Amino acid sequence: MRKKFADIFFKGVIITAAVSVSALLVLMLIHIIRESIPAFSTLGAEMFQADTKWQPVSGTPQFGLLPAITGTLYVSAIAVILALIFGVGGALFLNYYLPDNIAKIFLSFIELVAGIPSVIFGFIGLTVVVKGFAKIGKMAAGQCVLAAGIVLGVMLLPYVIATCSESVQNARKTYELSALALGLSKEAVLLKTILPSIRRGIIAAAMMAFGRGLGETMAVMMVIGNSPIFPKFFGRGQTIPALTALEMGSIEYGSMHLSVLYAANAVLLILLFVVLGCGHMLRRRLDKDET
Amino acid sequence: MLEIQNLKAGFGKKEILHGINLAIPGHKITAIVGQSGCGKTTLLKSMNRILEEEGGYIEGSVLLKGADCKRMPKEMLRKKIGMVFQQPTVFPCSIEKNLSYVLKYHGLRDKSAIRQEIEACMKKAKLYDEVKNHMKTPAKNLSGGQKQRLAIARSLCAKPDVLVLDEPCSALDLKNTIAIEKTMLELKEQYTLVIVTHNLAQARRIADWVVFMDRGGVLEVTKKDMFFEHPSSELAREQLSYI
Amino acid sequence: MRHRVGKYLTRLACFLLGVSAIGIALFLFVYVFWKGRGVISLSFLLDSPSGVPVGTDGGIFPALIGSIFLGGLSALMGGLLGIGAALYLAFYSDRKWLSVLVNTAILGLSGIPSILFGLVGYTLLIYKLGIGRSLLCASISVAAMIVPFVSIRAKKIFEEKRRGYMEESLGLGLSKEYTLRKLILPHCASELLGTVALGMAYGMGAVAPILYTGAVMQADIPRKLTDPFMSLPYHLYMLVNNGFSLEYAFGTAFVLMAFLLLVQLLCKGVTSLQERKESR
Repeated sequence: MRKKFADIFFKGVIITAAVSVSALLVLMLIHIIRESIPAFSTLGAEMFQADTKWQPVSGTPQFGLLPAITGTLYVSAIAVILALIFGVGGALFLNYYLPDNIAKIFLSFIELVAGIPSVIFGFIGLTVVVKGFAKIGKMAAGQCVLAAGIVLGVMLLPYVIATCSESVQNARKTYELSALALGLSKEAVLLKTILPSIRRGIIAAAMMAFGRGLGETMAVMMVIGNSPIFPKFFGRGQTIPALTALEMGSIEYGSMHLSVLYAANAVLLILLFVVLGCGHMLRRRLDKDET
Repeated sequence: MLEIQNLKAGFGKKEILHGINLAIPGHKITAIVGQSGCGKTTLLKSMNRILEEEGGYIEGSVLLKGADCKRMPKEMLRKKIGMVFQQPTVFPCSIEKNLSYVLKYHGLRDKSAIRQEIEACMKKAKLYDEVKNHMKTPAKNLSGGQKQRLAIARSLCAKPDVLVLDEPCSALDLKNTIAIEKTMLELKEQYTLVIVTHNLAQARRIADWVVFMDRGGVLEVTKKDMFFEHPSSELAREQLSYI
Repeated sequence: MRHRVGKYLTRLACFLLGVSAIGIALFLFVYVFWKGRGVISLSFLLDSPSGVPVGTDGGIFPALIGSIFLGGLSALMGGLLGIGAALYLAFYSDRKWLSVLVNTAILGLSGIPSILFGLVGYTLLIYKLGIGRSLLCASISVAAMIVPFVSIRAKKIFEEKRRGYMEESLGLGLSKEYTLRKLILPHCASELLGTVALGMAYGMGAVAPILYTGAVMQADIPRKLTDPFMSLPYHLYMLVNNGFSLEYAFGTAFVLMAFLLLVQLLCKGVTSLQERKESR
């Protein structure tokens, strides 16, 4: 029976799509690495020294990346801590204390927040958080690292709540009935069985959220103040994606400035690969344990 | 009809079937029995190479009417050796579409020919009279027993030589089990049936030949009466003493 | 006694945190809609921007259309690629190395910051290939961003519901491709469309990839693929960043949010309808 032409064609289309997607990633990675080679070979470790500042367009240009790198890590860390506090608490409240049908409505609603574009978060961040900091903190303008952390934290909240909700629901299924039947109060069950069992789920969620936070561009860019200095809570700061977005348009192709930007993003990608990779593997192990 | 020579099969490093040699006679019902995990289902899935779709490997040869199954294109092999699974699964469309879907693949285009073929297969599976006025309704509304008969009718649409059934009644109640068993008895006139069952009583009711397996190997292959009266293996004697 | 206090404290903590989370979510929507409602009018939606500097008066029509074009084009490209790759991962694993590669590629792409799609698109498409700032370049950059979004969700759709059908169909001697074409894809069609629509919403809201690859502050509705275009979120960004008009910024945000919300709710509605149809 000769294989029908339609079948072969269809399979060919599918394989082409699969190969193209792989090629897309490979192409992008190769491109980024290639473009960053001039920076790594000419400047090398100089980019990562503590005393090198970020002055790409001065008379004697300096390309210090440490402020931006630390800024990226700082902002994401603040965001993850905030998102975890409200996210885990929220997940427990919704999945443990509220009846199932009401919880479902709220969870769907919070999912909608995940669909809000980054620019709008930045916009609300500017008009609410930054303005708030300016008024309360009596700063000239309210842009600061903490503002960026808060805005990013809110952006990560839906993701954290969603993943923790799943963990809480699974934990409830496994432990709730047997623990309650032993006469423990709801809160004791919570603290003694549910929280410990979702610990690994929380860590995985935190890692994934951290990774997402590292890559966030627009919202952070609009509220962080865009000063390539070392991050302090109420001071201005800079992150690698924001830096890239800011300076990208005014750089000549082939210049060292552009190559350094690529190098910065290469470093970011390595960070992302490690964080997201670990987070993903942790999740995979958790899923396997639960089945 | 089917000759199996030195068949070894498994997943990755784990070998499940350790060199099976078997001859399945044509136009009879052969029941493969044995405890859970002895490899009955793996044996079935090796016959039509579905095992490979699940990531397993198959070594050795399976000959259908003398032709090497490994050399045939997979679709042709599965057309000739049709399989009915344990869990009655129907496609998410109407009863009629479930069947015409198969017929259209095998080249039938003429609408009246399709309708005739559907009617014939449904009658053979003893489902026609019950649902002939509901052919366009969704198949998922059928009962478990009806779904399983639909699955059988569907397999018949491919005009197989051999029909293998993997524990076809284990998900059904007694009434439906009896109906399916009656169907199988009638089908053996036209087709060769191989059924896997863990239910020895069922094997006694409908099988002509019994293949008794244990831990990846075949312990004995005998005519039904021989097996149930004078089984040659110790394990079989032990199990039969319970029924 | 100590146990009692701990009990109530825990309950209070969860309650406060939970209510805050919901409250923050609610605030986001209410704030934008409340502050933007004054600007919304038919002329706002249908006029082109005007005023000095541009954007402080008039409307956002070209930006709205530009965004829809961008979203549609990139969803088409990214969605098809993503679904194709998902089909491969869910139903074909003949060459294991390719499966692993594609899976890694999808996960990798999903983690790449959106600005990098813009940076690579800018350098490769605009400089090296010489295509100017255009709908085409921006769409390609955004499409690359959408691929993992669609792919991951499509793979879930395929794996959760259809693997059983594939096995059954193969057992009948039908080919994988026939099964996909005639049984599985038609059955998943509405869910897949919903996923692609969500991908479109995702792409429409993105600014970073289109900053330098095609979006501009003022342009007509693009007539060719090589025309630059206006984009709603980009317009918002420009209004705010350059301090042009806070009022109109709120209006723009209102329209953008409302549009995306509509798309999301529609898709959710469609998927839950499908779920209810199947469970009956």
